[in-house]
This record gives sequence, C-alpha cells and structure tokens, in this order.
Amino acid sequence: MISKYRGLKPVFRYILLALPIAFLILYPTVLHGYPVRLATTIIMYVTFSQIWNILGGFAGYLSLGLMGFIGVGAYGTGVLMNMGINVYISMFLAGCLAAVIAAVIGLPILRLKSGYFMVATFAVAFVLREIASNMNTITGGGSGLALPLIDMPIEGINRYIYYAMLLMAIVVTFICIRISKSSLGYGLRAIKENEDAANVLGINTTVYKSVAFIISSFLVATIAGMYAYWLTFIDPLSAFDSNMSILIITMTMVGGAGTLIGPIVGGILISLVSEVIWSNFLELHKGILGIVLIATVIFLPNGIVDLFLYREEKLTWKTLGKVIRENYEKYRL
Amino acid sequence: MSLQAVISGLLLGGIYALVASGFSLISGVMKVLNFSHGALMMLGAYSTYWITVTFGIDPLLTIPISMAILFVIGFLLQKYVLNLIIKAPIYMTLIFTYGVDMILVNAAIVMWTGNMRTVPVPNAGANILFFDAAVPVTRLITFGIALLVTVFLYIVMGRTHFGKAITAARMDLDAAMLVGVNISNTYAITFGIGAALAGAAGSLLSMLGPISPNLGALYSTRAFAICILGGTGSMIGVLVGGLLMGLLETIGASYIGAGFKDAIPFALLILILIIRPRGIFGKEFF
Amino acid sequence: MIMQVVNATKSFGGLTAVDNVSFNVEKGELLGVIGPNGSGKTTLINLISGTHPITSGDILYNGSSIKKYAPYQRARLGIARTFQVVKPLQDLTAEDNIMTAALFGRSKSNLAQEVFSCMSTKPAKIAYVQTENILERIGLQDQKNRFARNLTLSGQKRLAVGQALAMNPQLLLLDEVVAGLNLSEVEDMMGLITTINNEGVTVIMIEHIMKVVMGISHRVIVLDRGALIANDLPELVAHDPHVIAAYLGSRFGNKNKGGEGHEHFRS
Repeated sequence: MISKYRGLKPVFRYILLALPIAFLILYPTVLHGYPVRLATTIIMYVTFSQIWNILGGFAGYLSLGLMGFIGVGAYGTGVLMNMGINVYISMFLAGCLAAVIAAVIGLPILRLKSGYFMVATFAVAFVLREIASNMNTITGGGSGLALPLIDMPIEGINRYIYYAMLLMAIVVTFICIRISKSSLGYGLRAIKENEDAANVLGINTTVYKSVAFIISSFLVATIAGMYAYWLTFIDPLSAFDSNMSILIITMTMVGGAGTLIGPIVGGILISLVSEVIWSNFLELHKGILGIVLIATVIFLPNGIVDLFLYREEKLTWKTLGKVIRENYEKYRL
Repeated sequence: MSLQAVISGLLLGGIYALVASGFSLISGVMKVLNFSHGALMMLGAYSTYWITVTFGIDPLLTIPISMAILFVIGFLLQKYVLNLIIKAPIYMTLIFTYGVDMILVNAAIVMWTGNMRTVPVPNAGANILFFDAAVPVTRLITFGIALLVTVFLYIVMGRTHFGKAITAARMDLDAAMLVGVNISNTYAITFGIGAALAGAAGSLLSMLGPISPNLGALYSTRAFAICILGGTGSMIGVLVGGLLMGLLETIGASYIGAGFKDAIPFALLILILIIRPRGIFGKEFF
Repeated sequence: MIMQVVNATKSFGGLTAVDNVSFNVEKGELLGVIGPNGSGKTTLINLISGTHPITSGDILYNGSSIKKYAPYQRARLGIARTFQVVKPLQDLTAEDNIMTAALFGRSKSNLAQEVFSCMSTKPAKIAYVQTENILERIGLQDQKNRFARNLTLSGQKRLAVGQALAMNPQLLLLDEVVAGLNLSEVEDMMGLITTINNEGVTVIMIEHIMKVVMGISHRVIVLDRGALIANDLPELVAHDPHVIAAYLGSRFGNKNKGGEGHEHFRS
C-alpha cells in the first residue's frame, strides 16, 4: 500500500483521479464503433482482473475456476432473462447463485494448500460447464442460448454497454480499494504471507478466505451477466471459456497480483496485446499467451507495478535490469 | 454394469495408470504439478503417427522410439526451462507448466493442423471373446504394455542406483546435494522419464483412436485426480487409482450419460479432496 | 490463576514431545521456561497457543478449557505469541505488520458481527493510532515503512514482540526472543519485557540465555525430554541437582543469583 500517491495532498489526488475518469466518460462521444467496443472489452477485462485479484492477489489463493463463475453468471442471466426478468435483476440473481455455489464448494476446497486448491477450482469450473451444457431443456445445451436483444440502434447499444461496464468497473474499483483498507484486506494479505502466523494473530482464516471467495464469485458472475447480455448469444464453450480464465490470470500477474493498480495496468496492457495478436496472428494466440505467462513467472513474478511501487531506489534502465536479474536468480536451481 | 463395460474400463485404466505414473514421479520428486503432461502425451502420439506413416512399421514398435524422443524433450525442457523456476512455490510452477502446455499445443496446431489423424493399426477390428464380452485385441495389447512399463518403472526406481538417487532427492534436497547427487541432472532425468511415460501413453492412445493436438487436454487433471485418488507417494496407489479411474469413467458414463463422461474425473477429484485428501493408499496429509 | 496446564501430553506418531506436564501460571507472573535442546519447550508453547492440538491432558485459561480452540480463537481470548523462527510477515512493512496484529487479537465479536464489519474501514483507523504507539515503544518508529525482511535481526525480534503487544494480550508467549542479539540489544529487550510484565501482562518466556531467564523471571520451569523436572524460584532451580544433571547451565545460574529486586510470586 505504499506509493508516492499517498504523499500528495488530497486535492491533487482527486484531480489525478478525475482526469482518467473524465477521459473514459467522454470517450464514446468522440469515437464510435470498433474503438468503443474495444474499450468496452478492455474495461471488462480490467474489472475481471481486479475481482480475481481479491482472492488470487491479496490472499494468494489463485483460482483457476474463473471460467466456471463466468459461465454461471452468463447462463444464469440468460435463463432468467428468457423468463422475462429484467436484465439487472437477472444479473444480480445470477450473482447470488454464484455466491451460493462459492459458499458451498468454497468451504471444503479452501482448506487445501495452494497448488491443490488451484486444481480443485479448475475441476469445479469444468464440472459446472458440463452441468450447464447438459441441462438441455433449461440452457439449450450444446446448441447455445439466445438472450433478448437490446432495442436500440447499433451505436446506441455500443454506448449503453460501454457505460454499463464502465459503471461496474468503477464500483468494483471502489470495492477493491475499500477491501484493501479494511480488516478484510489486512487479513487476506496476512494469509498470503503466512497462513499459520495469520491464525496466531487472531485471524479466522477460513472465514476470511470464504468471504473473499464468495464476494469475488458474486462480482464475477454479475459482470459475466452483462457480458452475456452484450453477446446476445452464448454456448457452453464461449461462456465457460478457459481462454478467458487464463487471460485474466495473466493480466493480473503481469500487472502485479496483490496490488490495486496491478490488475488495471495488466488488464489494459494484455488486452491491447491480445487484440493485436487476434487481428494479425490468430493461430499463434495461445502460444504467445503461454510465452508471456512463462516469461512473467521467470522475470517478473510480482508484475510490472512491483518495479515502481516497492523499490526504495528510482526506476532506471539499470535498476530494471537489476530487478529482472534478481527475479531470474530467485527461483532457479 | 456389464462385463463389457468393466473390461473396457480396466483396459483404459491401464493407460491412465501409465500417464499418472509419469505425473506422480514428477510431482513427487520435484514438487511440480506438471500441467504440460497432457501435451507431452500428445507429442508421443504424434511421434508414433509420423513414424508409422513415414516408415510403415507396426505402431507397437514405435513405442520405444517415441519414449526416447519424449525423454529427450523432457530432459531439455526441465534442464533449460523448468529449472529456471523450480524453486518457486507450487502455484507458480503450476501456472508456468500451464503456459508451457499452451505453447506446445499451439506449436502442434501450427505444425500439424488441428485435423484428426488416425494411426494405421494392423488387426484394428479384431476381437477376442471373453465370456460374453468382445475385447478388442488392440486394447488388450495396449493394456499389457502399459502395465509392463509401469512395473518396469517401479523396478527401476527401487533397484537401480539412479532410482535411489531420485528417491534421496525427493526426501531431502539438501542432504542429497551434500552426498553428491547432481540435482540439476537428476531433476532433468526424472522429468525425462516422466515425459517418456507420458509419451508411451500417448503412443498407446494413438492406436486406439484418432488423435489431434488437443488429445492431452484433460489428461493433466486426470493424472492429478488419479494420484490423489490412489494416494500421493504410493506407486501401488497410482496403479490402482488408474484402473479405478478407468472403471469409474466407463461405468459412470453408462449411468450418467455420455455427456457427463468428461466430467467424471473432475467430479471425483473434488469429492476426494473434500472427503479423503489422503487417497486410498496415501500416507501424507495436506 | 490465569493458566493451568494439566497433564499435557503431545505425541507425534511414536515420538512423545511433551510428556505429562502440569504447572500453573499466576496472573501477572513472568514464567521462564528452560531446558536442553529438543526438550519440548516450543512444543509446549505450541500447545498453549493452539498451533498443535494436544494429544491428552488439558489447558485451562481463566478457568475454562481451551484445548479444543483454534489458534485464532485463543488469540481472541488474549493469548499472543512470538515464534522461534522469526515470523513477522516478511513482505509487508513494519507498520503493516503491527496494523494487522492490531486489527485482530483480543476481541469479543462473534462470527456474524465479524463478517459484516470486515469491510469497514473504521477499525483500521483505530488500529492505526495503536500502531503508531507501539512502533514508538519498540523503537521502530523511524523504520515503519521498511519491509520486515529488510530489518535487522534485532528489529525483527522487536517487531514480533510489537505484534504480540498490538494484540492486546493477557498472556504473552515468547519463544527465544533474544536469540542472536548482541549484549546491548539483549538488555533493551529485557527492559521491554519487564515493562510489559509490570503493566499486568502475564509472560511465559522460553529462553536459552540464562542471564535473561534467571534475571527477570519470577519463577522458572525446566523441561527435559518432554517431562517437567523442576518448577521453582530461579535460584532454587539453578541449584536443583536434576536440572544440573540434565542441563549444565547451573554455573550461570550461580553467577547471576539475585539480579535486581524482582519478587517471586505467591499465589
């Protein structure tokens, strides 16, 4: 939580914060079409990254099960909307469903150590996908589910979804900041550092991990609901997309898991990179993502933001090289 | 629950046990959950394919070759890539191997396209009659080989000098280093062996059905589930776990329906982790 | 009596680390725990703090049994400890370390209250004030933004004590808190501990350095191979033939007989 930002007077802090927000709000009035949709996607991914960061970054419990809750949110919203329920209520209810699943399945698997927890979440997501694709009568099974269309011209839809996503992103950001400054945040960080010590300090680790898991699942599902509304059509493979899962994790790790700005930086950066690759080297997408991932683990396991935030010396090319070399030596045999 | 299903399940289980042995070796010795295991299997399958198709020999004969190829790949992969992050916490190495998996699969798609390919197998359709079950000859053979290799591994680990070195490294890294074990090479050889086993399993699978770059997609998790089911640290556990998994999948599919078939190892994994993380034969506890 | 350890036994498989140990601790006492390496001192502390579950026997805190309580529950009741292998949270700053401890520790809230208030920032503001006070006390005020892993050993040990303090404890368990410190650092630490004890906090202290233990303890217990072999005033323990036999430290005990005006406690 250290940053030079803290040293600024509150007035300047608000100005610094207001500028990007103003930019974001005005953006769709200046640009139209593809740039707006791209920005919407980036905002959505940044939001997902921030949510994943709560359990993964703060607490150190990396969940590979993102795609499961995204799918629950997407399908939950889709099914409810098809029953005539308003989109926002559907999203909320889908989020609640995800929260319930997280509560039930979370308690047992959060007991496991980190590596096993990861695989367990992966398994959970997979099972959720299979269930969804087999409930043919409700979810349409393999042939997918169509959502009610938004009754607006295309540009209107673009803007509507953009602002909706932006609003959710801001809300989620505030939630993350709040968590970081509260008992929950301190507790989760202690858990990541050393769970036994956290216990001895008086932290009920099981409860705190579960709360983080439930909150993040709820938020993920809700955003996924908006995502489904945007897509207007989902099927098991696109709603439970393991690529999205790994993309989000990469974003958070590249940016800096455990920090507040990390997911934002990583989200924007990797989204742009991903977009470039999709347009030009589509068939190499998976491989390049893999390379980014392993390079991050080798050279920059704490993410980009780590270069700026926790160093006592200023950032120059030399210190950059030093940090990278340190990280390289840290984990090797 | 027909005899047919039981036998099918067991035969498949033999191959599963082989996959899981390689995974268990790597995870036990190096504390790495190797999520690229499936991709290594896939490479073994493709080795068999290309050698069989290019030189026209019986696929069974390609198995030693494919194992050798995978050993080399595994050795190099460990020595020059994985060793860079080997001391990282488990969740980091898991993500890392996941990335490696993504790269390998993508490379396969680029080189060989995503189309399904079939390895020409002699006597493809022949069956042996066992009571009222028709047992495909190919499946029987692949089962036999899987079992053979697994048992061979067991012997190698227990009797040879090298096997003991690996066991020593697994028990206490620092002590092993002091005694003169070259850790870097030991790890590389271990990973090589694990990869070879995966390759063998892939080759066997290629004889049972069409292959594609996504062949190994679910196998890493399946191998993990088998290791947990059988009990970490137990070679017998892996064997039993593999057979059991094969059985449960085949029989389960006939009850729940083919749609859920893929989910069975995953659902099982969750159940075991919740109810009895130690597994059937396991000694350690999380 | 703030604590009663009754026939406490801890076995790890075939190894009995703590063997049928019984003793009482009075409120406000400073109890020293000594014994040769491997005699089960840390395990005993682990039993009290809840890090290891007790195999048989009981532990009573303020009259009621806590043997089934998880570590965090005992912390809530007012039991705080430091670890032998220094365990402040390494990648957090000194300030954050103390904040974390200050936010938790002794408290009376139940599960529901806690879940609902966990996202509130009010406790953090209160904890911040407490944190600054403690940083002053342990002398780390000017290093508060340094990462725990970058502190000197003395700093880390003081940080650990500071953490325990921040938990507002009734009972403080210290495990070799002066190991590795130089003479003047040891003096400072002794002063700090004595002050804490004088404020009413009961202290149980494992220590190898005889000068410290005999110098500030009101009473001393001795463990050898898991069993309790002595439980008495420091001077008397130093002359106990069993203790001498088990643990050739009585020479130091003899030299530092007395120390400055500490009183032993009577029940």
